Amino acid sequence: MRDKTSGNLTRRSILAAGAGAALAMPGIGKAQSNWPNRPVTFVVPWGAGGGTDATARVVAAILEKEFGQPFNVINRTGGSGVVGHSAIATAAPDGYTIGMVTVEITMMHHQGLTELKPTSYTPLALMNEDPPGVTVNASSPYADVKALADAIKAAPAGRFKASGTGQGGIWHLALIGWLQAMNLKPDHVAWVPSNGAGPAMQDLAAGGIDMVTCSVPEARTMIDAGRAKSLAIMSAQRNPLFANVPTLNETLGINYSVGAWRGIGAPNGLPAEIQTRLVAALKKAYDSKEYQDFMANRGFGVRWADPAGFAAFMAAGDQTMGSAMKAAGLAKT
Amino acid sequence: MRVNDLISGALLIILAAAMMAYTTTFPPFPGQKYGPSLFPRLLGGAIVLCGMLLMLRGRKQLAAGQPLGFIDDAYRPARGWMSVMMIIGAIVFYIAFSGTLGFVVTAFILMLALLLWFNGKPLNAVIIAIVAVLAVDWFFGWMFRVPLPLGVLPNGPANMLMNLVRGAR
Amino acid sequence: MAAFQQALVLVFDWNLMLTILLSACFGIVVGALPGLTATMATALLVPVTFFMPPVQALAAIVTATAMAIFAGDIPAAMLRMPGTPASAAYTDESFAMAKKGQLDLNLGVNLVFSVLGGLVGVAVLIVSAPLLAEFAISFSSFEYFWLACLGLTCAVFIATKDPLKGFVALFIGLLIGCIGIDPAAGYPRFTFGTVVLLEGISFIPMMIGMFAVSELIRSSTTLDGRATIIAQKVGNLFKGVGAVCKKYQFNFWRGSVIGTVIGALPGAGADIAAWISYAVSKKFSKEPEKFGTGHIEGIVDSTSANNSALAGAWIPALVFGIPGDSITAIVIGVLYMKNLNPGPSMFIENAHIMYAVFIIFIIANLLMLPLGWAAIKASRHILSVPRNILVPLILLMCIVGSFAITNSVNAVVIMLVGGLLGWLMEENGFPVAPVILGLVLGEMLESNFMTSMIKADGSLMGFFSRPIAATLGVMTIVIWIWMLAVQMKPKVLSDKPE
Repeated sequence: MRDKTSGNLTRRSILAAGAGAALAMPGIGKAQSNWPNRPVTFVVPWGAGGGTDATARVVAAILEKEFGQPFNVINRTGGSGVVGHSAIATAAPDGYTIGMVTVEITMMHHQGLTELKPTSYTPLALMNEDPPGVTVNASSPYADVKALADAIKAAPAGRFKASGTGQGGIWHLALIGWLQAMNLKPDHVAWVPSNGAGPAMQDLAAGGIDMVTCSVPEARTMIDAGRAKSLAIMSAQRNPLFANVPTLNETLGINYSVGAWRGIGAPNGLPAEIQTRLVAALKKAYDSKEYQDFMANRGFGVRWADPAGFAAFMAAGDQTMGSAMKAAGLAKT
Repeated sequence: MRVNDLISGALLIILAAAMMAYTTTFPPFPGQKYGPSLFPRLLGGAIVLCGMLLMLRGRKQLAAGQPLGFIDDAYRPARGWMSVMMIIGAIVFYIAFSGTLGFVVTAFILMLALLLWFNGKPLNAVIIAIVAVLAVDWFFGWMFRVPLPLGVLPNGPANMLMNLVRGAR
Repeated sequence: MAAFQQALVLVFDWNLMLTILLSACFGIVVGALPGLTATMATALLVPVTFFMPPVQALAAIVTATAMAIFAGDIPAAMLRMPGTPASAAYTDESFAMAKKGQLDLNLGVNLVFSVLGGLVGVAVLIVSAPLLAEFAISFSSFEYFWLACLGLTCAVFIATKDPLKGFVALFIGLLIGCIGIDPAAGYPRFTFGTVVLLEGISFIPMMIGMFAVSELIRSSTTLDGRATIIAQKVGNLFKGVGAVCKKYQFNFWRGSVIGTVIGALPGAGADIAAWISYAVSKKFSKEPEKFGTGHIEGIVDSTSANNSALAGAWIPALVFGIPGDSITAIVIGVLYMKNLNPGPSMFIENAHIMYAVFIIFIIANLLMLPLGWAAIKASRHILSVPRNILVPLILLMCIVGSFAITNSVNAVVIMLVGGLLGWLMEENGFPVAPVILGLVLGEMLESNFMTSMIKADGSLMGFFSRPIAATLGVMTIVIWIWMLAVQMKPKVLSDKPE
């Protein structure tokens, strides 16, 4: 597609760069100006197949088209996200490793799982945010969230069991926040730790637990299959894709919201030039029809923030999470 | 290296005891009755039981005149032992140096050493090592996008080649 | 029927056929190389499928994974290096057959029964997807706990000579599985304060180490300067397969059915299906003493099972959007990307696409016969490479394959430790297969145990409170008691003379 002269030029310059690198070994300083001239690693701290992974793959495909170099999505799972997050933070800040930073970065260090904080990264962009919901089995007797809330209040502590993620995970905090807003103790509803929203929804459908507080898109297939029903969404507005699900504020007058978010970050010390180019490309990716369509199809919320906004967003989230986890006795003291 | 069941049984019991001692440092699970130490402790108990059964069996074997331990004939000759060490050493070498030298250089040295030791013919060894390393680098590194460490060759041969192809297009 | 005709039009398109052929070759290569699994093949296909129409995208995934699961059997038999975890259960058996000079028969049986098992899985998927999905979705943590217990019981059947050492190996596997963040509380266990161990011990590098590296260490002692060639050649693959088909017809059906059902259970895939059906085969065999010495019977069961499990995993994925294994977890993402939301409505609104997927499943399995044959024929050249050149090459593949799993050198460390441990264990009569089984099932066992304890408030009766759980639980306990009784009997006899 390119015209001949520029094609030749590129080839010659790459030849020269290649030869230069091979001859004078520590010629790495050169790499910056023509970044990216080799594949970029895109680290995802969660497993292949999940929502974070899917989002990352869409973004990576768009970046790949944009820069003409592969953006390889690499799943570094395990340790409840610690491993992948630390892989991003500890990589060389040369622009060849970026990654997905998720809400857990504002939570894990309060639990004492890691030293990593939001400030351990060069923020690039916030791409998405999803509020939690309240989902129950389709055959559950509670017609709306008010009936469920009344039943919870009337029941002895520990009778109701909820799930959605691991102990102290984002959806556990969502439950705790909701309970506290109803003036109940954080453990009034027992939390059953699970390996993510998928297994929790499966257990809900099998009748093993009473409710799941994961985001509505994560519960979607079970809802579509008629196995579960969504009673409420814990956010300021309804989700356009699930317009018949009321917010907690509408039904209970509770204005409580924490959300799971996903953003893109790089190791600290990323050269400003590369950061600017990445942010511009990410903005383009965010605005693209592919990204918007994909997110809308899955019912995921979209939310954009540039590096400064993203950093402020993370700092605020970090504080909220810290105090919420302390209140719930989940933070390491 | 074969040891009597008495020794392997004792080793297992020590392992299980150490593990169970470690579980005492685990904190309780906030808000739950059962903590992270429950499952390893159950497991430790099972291993201790197996270890005791093995020790009982080992005592019988000793009584029947079996030795406490011996080394198999295959590992007796110096060359046999050295071959084992070459394999293990090659892996250790890769672990130690692949990060700094990069995949291509480390793998080449490793292949060359092993081929020289096992096969002997220098020219053969160099050719096979080069072909094998480049093929693996291209296949895993480029085709399958495995981020093999780049080390002293920041562009990587396969990547340089692909950039050339792209440039030519 | 209109939908079916539409599906035929969709499928019989040269573009799609080319996709199927290319993905098939891709799948075979991925499956045959250690460390590149069917799941990874799927993940790598995602960016490619991004630009494809839905049927083409699904065809690529279906074909590549089916081929990969079969192709994993080839290096397992030739080099004791399982290409994918789904072949681990019968790697030793296959390798023992190869050493006995029955490589032809082994690969022929693996190929034919992979094809047939795959076809049974597809048939079940077509006929009873909604019904089976209904069953699979009714499993809660209690049922999974008992299922994991039953799976662990297999270790005893797999350990041929010495059940006690089999148990030890299994417990070591479970213990290794405890390393890392624990599944319930999220507390880092046995990490000695390091980040490296936080991610736990990845079982594929462990498997490569225990099977392949330990074999390299052992065989390296007999390598000298001379170029020895493994005497065997690959001849007529299908000779003798007919007789096996006739003799072990029942094993094939049993393996395929077990495979499909286990595949359909969320969280248990082709690897667990292979373990369980291998153990069942030995348990009910007329000649269990031959297992482990290079006997074809268990291979018929398990090689049918892992391919049928592949199709089985699509059942809950299509009907409820719940992945049956890690491959379908990615498939669900692809379905969403293509605006094909999984769920019962998919069978109504997009029936033509469903039919097309079914037809592609059948084509892929049939295509496996000629392509698998070609792959085996092509890889026979591996055996004509002198062993003193082959050993370094295999070692390089093991290193890169392990690295590819976690994308870090930690996996190579795990592989080395696994190799040394496996070597020492086998020297002392401890089987290595149960270690891998313990690693595979460990997390499933513990997380479901903890979840169930929390849900039942610590009451053990909770484990029997649901009908399926009670049935599975009673079954497990009866098997355990029966095993103990059998164990006790000969011991009492042999103890008498003392």
